[in-house]
Amino acid sequence: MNAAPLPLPGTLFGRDGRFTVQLKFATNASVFANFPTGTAPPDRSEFDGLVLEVEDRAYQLSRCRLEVEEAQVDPRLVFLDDVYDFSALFREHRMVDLRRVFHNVALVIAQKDQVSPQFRDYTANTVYDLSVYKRFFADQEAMLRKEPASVREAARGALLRAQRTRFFDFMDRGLLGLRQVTASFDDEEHKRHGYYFRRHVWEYIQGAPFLARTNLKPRGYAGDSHMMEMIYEDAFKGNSVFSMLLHRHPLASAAARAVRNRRTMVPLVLRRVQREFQPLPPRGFRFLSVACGPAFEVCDLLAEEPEPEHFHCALLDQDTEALATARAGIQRVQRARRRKFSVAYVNESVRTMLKRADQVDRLGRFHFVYSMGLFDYLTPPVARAVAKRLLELVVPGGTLLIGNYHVDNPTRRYMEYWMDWTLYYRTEAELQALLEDAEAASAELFFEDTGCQMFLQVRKPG
Amino acid sequence: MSELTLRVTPDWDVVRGFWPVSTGFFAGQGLQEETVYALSMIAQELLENAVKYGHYPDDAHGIAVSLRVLKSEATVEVKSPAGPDDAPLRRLDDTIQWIRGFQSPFEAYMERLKAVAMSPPSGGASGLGLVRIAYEGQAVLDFYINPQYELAVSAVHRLPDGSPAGIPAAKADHQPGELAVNRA
Repeated sequence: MNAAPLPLPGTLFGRDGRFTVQLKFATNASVFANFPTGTAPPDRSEFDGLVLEVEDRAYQLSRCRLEVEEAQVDPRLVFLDDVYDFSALFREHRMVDLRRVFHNVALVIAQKDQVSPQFRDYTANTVYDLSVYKRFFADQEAMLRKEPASVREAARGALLRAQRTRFFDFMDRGLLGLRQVTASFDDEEHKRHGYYFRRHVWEYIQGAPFLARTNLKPRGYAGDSHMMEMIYEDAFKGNSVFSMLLHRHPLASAAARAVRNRRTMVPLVLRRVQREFQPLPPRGFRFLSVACGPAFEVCDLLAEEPEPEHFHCALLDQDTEALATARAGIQRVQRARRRKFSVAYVNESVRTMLKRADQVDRLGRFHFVYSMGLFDYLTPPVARAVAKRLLELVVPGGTLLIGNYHVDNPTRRYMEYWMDWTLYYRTEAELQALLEDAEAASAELFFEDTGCQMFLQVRKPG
Repeated sequence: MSELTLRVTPDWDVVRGFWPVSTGFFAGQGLQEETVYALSMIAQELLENAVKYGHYPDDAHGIAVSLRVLKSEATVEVKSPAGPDDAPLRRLDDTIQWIRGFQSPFEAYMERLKAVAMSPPSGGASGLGLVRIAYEGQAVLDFYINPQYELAVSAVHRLPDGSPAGIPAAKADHQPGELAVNRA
């Protein structure tokens, strides 16, 4: 528990004169005033200001009023023109004027002056349509409020099934309109209009768990392992039918389908690489997943592989929660199959792992190294350095597989405007350029079925 | 591609003197005035960070600056020796990921201004410089540490379609000796 902060000396001044006071912390926005040299002025006396002495500095605070409270020995000072943070002042001796925060309001409001009239119309129409949908669903659910839980659930399910197509069509039309109205925007205009748009649809975003998480980024970045779980799960979630539909819609997008596609694609490529190295002893086939996330594809592989003992798998991620999810998933498979897998969990950031010259000694080399959902966040200088280092970790004849969303990702504007989720998109040439100087026996570029995501597969010379 | 790579002494006067070097280089690529200003501001901010937070045990350790212009993007990369402590790197990682978590860097800028207003920095880093790079410089920040223990911080600024590309680099309008800046 925090000790009570020490009192601070001060002077109250106003038309009735000057009063020396000892100020004690009361609440975050008020203080108690003790008058050591005389009688306190009467209840509700007002003062023009208070000068507070903190260490060797004096701060002048604005107009305040004395309020006598029965339960308190000293009267309380409340401030009439400003809000001060007395917790910071008494405990840390920092003067915080909360008014400064409001100085930025004008700057935010001015943002709308740079929003195109067509986009304002688009946003207004979207918000109106969403409010209509929300109201209709809310009315339906209100009718069910007094029904038994089982009836309510069945009715909700019926509503979801019946209205899903209609609502998804509505959202798809809206996204088509978004692409059209923003088609001529440059990068900066997209950012400005995205900010404006999210201010308007924030209420709806907050209700839909997936959209809320991509916007709020509780782990500090988009695309965390919990978001990936939501994408893989692809189910209705939310407190109302409307929120459930809004949660589920982005999970049906091409970009989300691409995430699910890579879950099945990675084990296929891995098995192809494995065949090139057969026969290998137990734990002989080594693979590494970089920025592994929940590693569902590894769980699938270990669950389905007839002889999983042949694998040694290393999972690297900077997020300890992602690694914990991956570990829990793999342990579930172990228990179900009653077998022990060889798995190493490495908690490290790719940006700082490059500093270790002994990375090969530490992690070893791998027959197959892959990274999905990482290069979409790395700019060219970093991506080149990471790709080069990953190739060093590949054994001769082994394969490196790197995924990156393509610039023509059809879900791009949906992700940016609704999800506040930006990626570093690349063209085919830009992805290939990351390893253009590398020594490779072959380099192949291919797409998964949606065409959103491309993969660079590089085979190291044998 | 046009590229200018220089080594810079970690000295405030030298860093201040870098402005004409960067504006000269970027203007020489035929970029618009506001883009030249944005990229030069980025170079200045990254250099100041390198002087402030770099680890310079002796004169052999300096700063390496690289200015690159491609068809679709311009990049400023600044490398400085990293200290033995990993904590500042983790903070940098968190800050950069936080900034990049916003589609609009304006939003990050406002959040950072709010944080500074609520809790004025007392000698420590406010993080405003990096946010300024993202917002005013319209650039994507990133970093890595190389095996030489150099912190390489880069900012990539997307150029609008139709920007001049592949134009040979103009000679930087500066005297290396005067600025204590040496071509690598």
